[in-house]
Amino acid sequence: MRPSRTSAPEVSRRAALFALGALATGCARPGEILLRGAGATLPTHLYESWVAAYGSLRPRLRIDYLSIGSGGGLRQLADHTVDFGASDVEPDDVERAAIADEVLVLPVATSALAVAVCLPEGAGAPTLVLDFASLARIFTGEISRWDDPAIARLNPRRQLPKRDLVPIARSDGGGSTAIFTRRLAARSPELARSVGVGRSVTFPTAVGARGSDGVAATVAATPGSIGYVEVTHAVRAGLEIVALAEGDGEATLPTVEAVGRAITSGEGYPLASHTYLVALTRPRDAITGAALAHFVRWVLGPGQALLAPGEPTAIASGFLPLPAASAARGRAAVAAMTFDGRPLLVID
Amino acid sequence: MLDAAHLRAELRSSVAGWLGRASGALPVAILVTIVGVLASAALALSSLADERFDPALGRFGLWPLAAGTAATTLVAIGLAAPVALVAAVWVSELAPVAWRRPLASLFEGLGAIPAVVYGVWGRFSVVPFVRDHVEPALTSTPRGHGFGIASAACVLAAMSLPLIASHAAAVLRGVPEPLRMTAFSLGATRWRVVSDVVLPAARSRLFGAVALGVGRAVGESIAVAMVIGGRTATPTGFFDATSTLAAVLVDGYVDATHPEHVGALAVVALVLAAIGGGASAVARRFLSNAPRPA
Repeated sequence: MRPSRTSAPEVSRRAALFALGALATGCARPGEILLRGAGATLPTHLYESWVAAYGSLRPRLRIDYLSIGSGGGLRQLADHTVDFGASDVEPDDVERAAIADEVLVLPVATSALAVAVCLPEGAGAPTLVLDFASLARIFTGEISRWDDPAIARLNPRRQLPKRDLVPIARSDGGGSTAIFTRRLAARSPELARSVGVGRSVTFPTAVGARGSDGVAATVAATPGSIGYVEVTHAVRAGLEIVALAEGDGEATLPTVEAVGRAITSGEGYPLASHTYLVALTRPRDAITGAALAHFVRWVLGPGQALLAPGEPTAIASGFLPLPAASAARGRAAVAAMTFDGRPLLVID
Repeated sequence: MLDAAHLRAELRSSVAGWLGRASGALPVAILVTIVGVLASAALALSSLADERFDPALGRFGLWPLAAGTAATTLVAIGLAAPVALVAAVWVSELAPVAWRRPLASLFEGLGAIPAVVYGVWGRFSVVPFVRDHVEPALTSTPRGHGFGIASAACVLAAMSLPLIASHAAAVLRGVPEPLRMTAFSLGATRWRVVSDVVLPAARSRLFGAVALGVGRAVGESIAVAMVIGGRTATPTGFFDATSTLAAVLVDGYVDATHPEHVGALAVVALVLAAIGGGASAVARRFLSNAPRPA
């Protein structure tokens, strides 16, 4: 046999690399470090603006973020095909168990769900007020009309239309549904029993729409409807947003101030929440692990400035900064990440 | 003596043989992989006979989805098949000869429009129309949203109609000319030729064309998901929001993380694959029947 310059395994390895390169653009070029992330669709703009800003500081780093849904991101993380996942809710026990390794779940930004309605008769009327008890009863189908006494009691100054209520929910699995059901179920045993808590639930009387923009569009197009979407979607669709009270507290709109207060003190807008970055505590190698640790530390530090109210990036992404204390907790958790006993932040 | 040209020819034919075998084996391999992957995911599942499909409560009954699929398909085919058959008769037998080919091409073109386009049309035209006009006219307590079986059936009917019509027209064109000529020569009118000779001769193959429409309606996912109101509850009325086997897949797969949920979706996919394969087999069986005199 004639000695060949390239061994057979080398040829097949190159062929495989070529095939992979043709399929996916997610291959790092020589000298480039690639971080792969995947997850929730909602924070796509958020990650894009972070990646753009951080990328200008680190020209050799490339970060690919695929918006494939929170659950999809967690599955990819469990399969070790991404370096970090992004989720609108904290992974539950089953999801944590599916990811065989230990994970770090870090809140990276603040967001809020809005309850939005379409009441064409209500132009110029005082803000609609709902409490969690009546909201839960709307979504279990117990309250089926807008002029129900329970709603009228909360809105003494508003003329309520004599209309059927049309609750709108997500038909696809989504973080917004998980947050919404988790918060309502804590106040309503009936909703916890008949609807449950999770990303894919079946509300007895709700109509499903695909995605948060689908819910916003369906609410906008359906007189008498009520739905839950992230504030940014509700604002973009020009929907009427409901002021919410959790218990007997004062009803608040999801303003920057009320959402911030809810995150720091627990008082304030009751549907405030976080978006989370999920990473394996044991990265696949030192280089990517270090790159991820540096990126996350930046996200929890200077990256938060991009979300200050009024910043174009904050408006485009629809997120607000974390409270300083929880950003600091996150940075401490990142500093504790190690690879073979060495702190990742030491590796550069 | 072995010369180079001979060797090359031999090599070519053996490469072609291998390529041929490989491409023949590929669909089989794909099928085995699909069934294998889905079946292994489906094993994680406990109960499919539950009357609810409710992932958050750990309930994965297929009945609501089967009911939604059956209802939308029956209504859609009930609307589409008669119209499609009349259209096919007209295009292939009664329309002026110069119109026939363009009309047949039109049906084929309509049948080739991507499903998501039908979904968009359904979402922005059918749903509001059903909400504002159809439901108030037919019920005393309208639900007020327009999403549901009625809208999904309309969209599916619009999608199946050109498919059934173009296949049915092709079937009718395939009825041998001598049959028609004989009937005409016996003094039959054009209408009698169609009703007494052409249609009976093509009957079982027309059934095949309708079966193709059923297959399309059962398997349609995205267009249905856009208008059915994605609620996995057993429908009790014509205007109820519900879901179908295909729509629950397109709504559920992205975010399903729990093994049981993934398993349930895998079962749904297997059931759909079986129904789709079955409908196609039935359609082919009937479409291949030779036309025969009544």
